[in-house]
Amino acid sequence: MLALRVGFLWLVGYIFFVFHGLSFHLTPWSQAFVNAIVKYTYDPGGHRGQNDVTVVLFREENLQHMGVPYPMPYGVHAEILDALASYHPRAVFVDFAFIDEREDSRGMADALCGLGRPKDGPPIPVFIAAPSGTAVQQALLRCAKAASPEMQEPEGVSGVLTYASRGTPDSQGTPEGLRTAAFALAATNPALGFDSRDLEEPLEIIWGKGVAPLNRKWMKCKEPSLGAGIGAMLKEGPLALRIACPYTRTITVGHLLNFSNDDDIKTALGGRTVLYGAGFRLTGDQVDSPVYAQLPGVYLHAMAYDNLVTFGKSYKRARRTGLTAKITDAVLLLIASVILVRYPRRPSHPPATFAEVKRRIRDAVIAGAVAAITLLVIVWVGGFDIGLLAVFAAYVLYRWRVTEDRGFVLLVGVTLGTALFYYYVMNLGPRNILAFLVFFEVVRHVQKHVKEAAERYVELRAREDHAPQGPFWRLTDAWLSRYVESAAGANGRGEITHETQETGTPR
Amino acid sequence: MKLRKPVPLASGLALAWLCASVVAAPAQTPGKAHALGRVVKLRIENVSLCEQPNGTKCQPYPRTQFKDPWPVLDRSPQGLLQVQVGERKVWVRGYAVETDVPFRVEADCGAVVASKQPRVGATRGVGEECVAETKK
Repeated sequence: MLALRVGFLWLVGYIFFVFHGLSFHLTPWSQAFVNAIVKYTYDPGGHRGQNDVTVVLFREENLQHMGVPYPMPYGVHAEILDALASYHPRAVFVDFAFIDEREDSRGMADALCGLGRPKDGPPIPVFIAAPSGTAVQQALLRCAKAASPEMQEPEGVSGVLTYASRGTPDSQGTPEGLRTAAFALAATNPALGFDSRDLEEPLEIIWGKGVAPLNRKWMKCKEPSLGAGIGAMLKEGPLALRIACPYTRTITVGHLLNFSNDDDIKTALGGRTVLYGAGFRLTGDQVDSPVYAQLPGVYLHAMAYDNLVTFGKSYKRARRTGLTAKITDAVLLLIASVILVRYPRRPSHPPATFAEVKRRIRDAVIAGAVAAITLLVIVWVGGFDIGLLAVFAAYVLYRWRVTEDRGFVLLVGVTLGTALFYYYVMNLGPRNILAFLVFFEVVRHVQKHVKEAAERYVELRAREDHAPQGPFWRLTDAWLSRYVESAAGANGRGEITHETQETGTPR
Repeated sequence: MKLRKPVPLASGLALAWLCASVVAAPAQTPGKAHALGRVVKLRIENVSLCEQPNGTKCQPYPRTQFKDPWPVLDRSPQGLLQVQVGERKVWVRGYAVETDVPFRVEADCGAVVASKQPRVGATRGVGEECVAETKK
């Protein structure tokens, strides 16, 4: 009989999951939790990826300052590549697509060769962006290789979370698709120990949360005040507070060309993996992420490569919709259903006197005020991420100690354990843990209403003289009768209906 | 009590000597009075020496020819350094040379890299060529 209830709950829960709605609406909050956790868990000690990667950004202001129009002459790119070569980077990805033939293509090709085959050092892998369906100037591929700059579709409010290992196959020479920029760069880094088979599965990007120290020296990274932050979160949701400065260490073309004897520039470029891209207005080359405000597209490749450096062969696979993920989701929901049936929520005891009502209201107001002040202090000292995690921890504690809801606490443990298993063993991206927990609450309410309806049905049917007729009613009768029997059996383990509590007489 | 007087006097003399030595040190370097710094090395094989402060009209200068340091005289709004090469005053890019002191010309300060971009229904550069044709 228990199997019947477990099966029913599992079905209800899975419907919530399969039909997108619940988890979709909870995504902003779930993503905010993930962002907060990632802030403290993504490569906390070493910052291997952040140390290895540098973005050289051609900004709108650099165009004006240098007095060059858009699109820039190839000669300007050539000078920038010359400057890059002088710092001896480990590898370079040029996030510009050179499709049109220009008068100065030869100078550009020479600059690429100067960068890729230096006379005073080992060869440097150089890649040029080659979007699918376009043809990069062949002359430029003499000393450089083509790499796909393909960007996946954003996933709702979370932005771009996946990164393909190869671009769209092109029948004109790359039937299996070019490697994407991050994967192409990773394949050239022997320190990462990848072989070609390791770099075929698409990546789920973990957007590291933080700002590279060098960026703070020249970017405007001011964060909103406590009041403004709370206001923005209440008005626009938990993902309203996006960071204005990127995680990846960045210098501009201005820094590159005009600085001399600068240790920061030498450190940022010497032996590093450099991605050279643009942040121009009205060009559409922008990426949405769950952590940062809109960034130039080159940061997508930089973050993806950062993930490959940070996680190595254990990089997080983009298999959210794969069969394995679906099966593990189903198993988790089944466990949750068993917990729901085995550990039903204990009903609250209604106050017996008016004095008790007053006492409860007073206690609730005091507890609420203390909680609010504590939360404000936590947010003020540790930031919004710590505040969000503190709210979650406090809620679990409340359900455990105050409402004595062991089932909820067990489920939190199981969900977190499963999320860690997904992340560290199966190498999948962070799961929508909040949706699991809300599923638990929603299904519990559904279960309560179904049970009440079944009890009412059995009670009314008992007053009827005639047994139900027809296959549909016979099936309904059999199902609901057994459901009520199983629920009555569970009452012995602590599940009490409101009716039995009020009358004191078990049915 | 008798010993107290010479102590401030000695301290004052020592301080004066220290200040004088600090001021005197740059003055002992000939030809550096008006220089902002010096180019001590060329970082690339052929450095472009430009006549204009915006980096135009340039001539390559081989690294092998570099011998004595070049005094840095000025900085251009476009970010180039003016250097004295023999009798000539020319402009070079900062990255191409190694200077004895750091030069950070026209740094991008207070830049906003990530921001919420307004959605627009336009493509950059449409019609620019037409305007150029009309001007001719």
